[in-house]
Amino acid sequence: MQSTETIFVVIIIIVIVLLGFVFYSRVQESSIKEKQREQRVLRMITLAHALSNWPELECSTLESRDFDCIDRLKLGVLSDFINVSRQDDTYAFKYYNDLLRRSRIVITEVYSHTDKESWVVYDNSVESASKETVFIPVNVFDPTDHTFTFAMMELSLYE
Amino acid sequence: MAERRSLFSGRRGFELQFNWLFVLIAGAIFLMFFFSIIRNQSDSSTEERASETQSDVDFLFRASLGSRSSDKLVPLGGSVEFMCEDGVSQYIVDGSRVSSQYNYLAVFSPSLLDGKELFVKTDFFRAPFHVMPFLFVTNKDTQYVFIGESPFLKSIYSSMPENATKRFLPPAEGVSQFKDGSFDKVIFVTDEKGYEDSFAGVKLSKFSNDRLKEVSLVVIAPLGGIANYYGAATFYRHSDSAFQRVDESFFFTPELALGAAYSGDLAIYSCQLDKALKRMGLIASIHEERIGKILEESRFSSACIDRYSSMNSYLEIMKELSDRKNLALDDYGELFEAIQGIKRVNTELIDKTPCPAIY
Repeated sequence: MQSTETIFVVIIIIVIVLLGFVFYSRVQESSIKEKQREQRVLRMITLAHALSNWPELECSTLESRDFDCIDRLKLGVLSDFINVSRQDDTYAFKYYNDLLRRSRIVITEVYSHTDKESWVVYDNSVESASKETVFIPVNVFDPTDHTFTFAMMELSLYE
Repeated sequence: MAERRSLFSGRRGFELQFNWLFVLIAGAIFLMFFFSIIRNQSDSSTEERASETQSDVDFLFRASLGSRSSDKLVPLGGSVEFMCEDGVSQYIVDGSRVSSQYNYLAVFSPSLLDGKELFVKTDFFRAPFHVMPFLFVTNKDTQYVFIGESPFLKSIYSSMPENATKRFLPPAEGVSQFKDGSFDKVIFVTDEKGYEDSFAGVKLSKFSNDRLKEVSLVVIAPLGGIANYYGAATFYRHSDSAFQRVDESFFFTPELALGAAYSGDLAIYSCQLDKALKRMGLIASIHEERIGKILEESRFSSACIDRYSSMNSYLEIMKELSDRKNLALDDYGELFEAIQGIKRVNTELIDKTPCPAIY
């Protein structure tokens, strides 16, 4: 009788400990998801910051850089360049894939004295994945006629 | 006299014994279980700390892509080891199970950095247009000793952060009597004259044999004058008896010369040089296509068109050399001349024509 009681006590203690573990793992899971979200936002901010200073897109005159300024001619060149490098699987594509991963970068003019243009610089989006998007205002400079237009860079990260 | 029954005899006695045995075994199992949980938690907290440090360093590297020139002090909770083998660059923080790769970032540093903080300097590699940011990483426990009086060495010395452990060694002091300051690493930096005068056949007598393996030497030899930023960087390691030559590599911009001094390690320097060349070829291709778009506008004068054509020829040289393997000193000379040519033509485009500049 006494041994039966002891066995029951042990079983109850085991059940309580198991319940404690289940609760702990649920708390850990939500904490991990929160950390993953923080990492995603951090990655987006660092990428947005990097893009605004990218040699592939920046305006510059004799090494002095204009802040948040994108060269219109480079925009036209870069998206074709990335697409061609993707088809040929060159070093260039591996570089952009490592830097940009699953993301989409679109620059759309919002105020222009001519027809508003839009450039898809990079597109490695995934239909079913969750997405975080940020909009960054930029100046687009045309070096052939020295004019500026105002545009929005839409940066989307997919997970 | 009544027979005394033993407490532990009979059925009741058997149950009592079994109870105690059962309690002892169950208690031991519980104790082992909780001890293993405590041990796992302790191990995982060490790993978590290392993983946080690793992701901090990773964030620092990625954030540098958007940085202009900067000097930062970054807290470090352990040691970081940098490796580069077969074209794969990776680093691992002490206590972490996995390493992180950085195949498309250029980081010049000694192979192992241990301590509480890192000095991180960012500067853009120019050729002469912006190509990529270079990160120069070191710490207080890495000592840089400069030997020589050339303006070239002085320019590398002044490019290093103020709080880096660096000093000039007067020629009169003599390298053989140089005292071991118990730094994790000692990197001597000199030029060809400094090497001939101070290092050939010399042994560091004040260092124990164990400590000698942490000493290295970089001889940076520009071809002529402070403005001539191309030449050879030769790396040496100290064996038991003297400095032994490892091999040589090359540089063609001031940032690369600084990188050779910072790393003091041929494998790490060569990897970063390779990345810089490939990236330079990529940016040169983009500039070339941009010139093509400019030339589609037929309204530019022949003065502009001629300059764009010569610019294209320099960019072609850059692209061709960046794709080639095992470049020799003459090839780096060609790259250096191409950079000077692009600089000159770009200045002419800005000063003498209304045409768009290249960079």
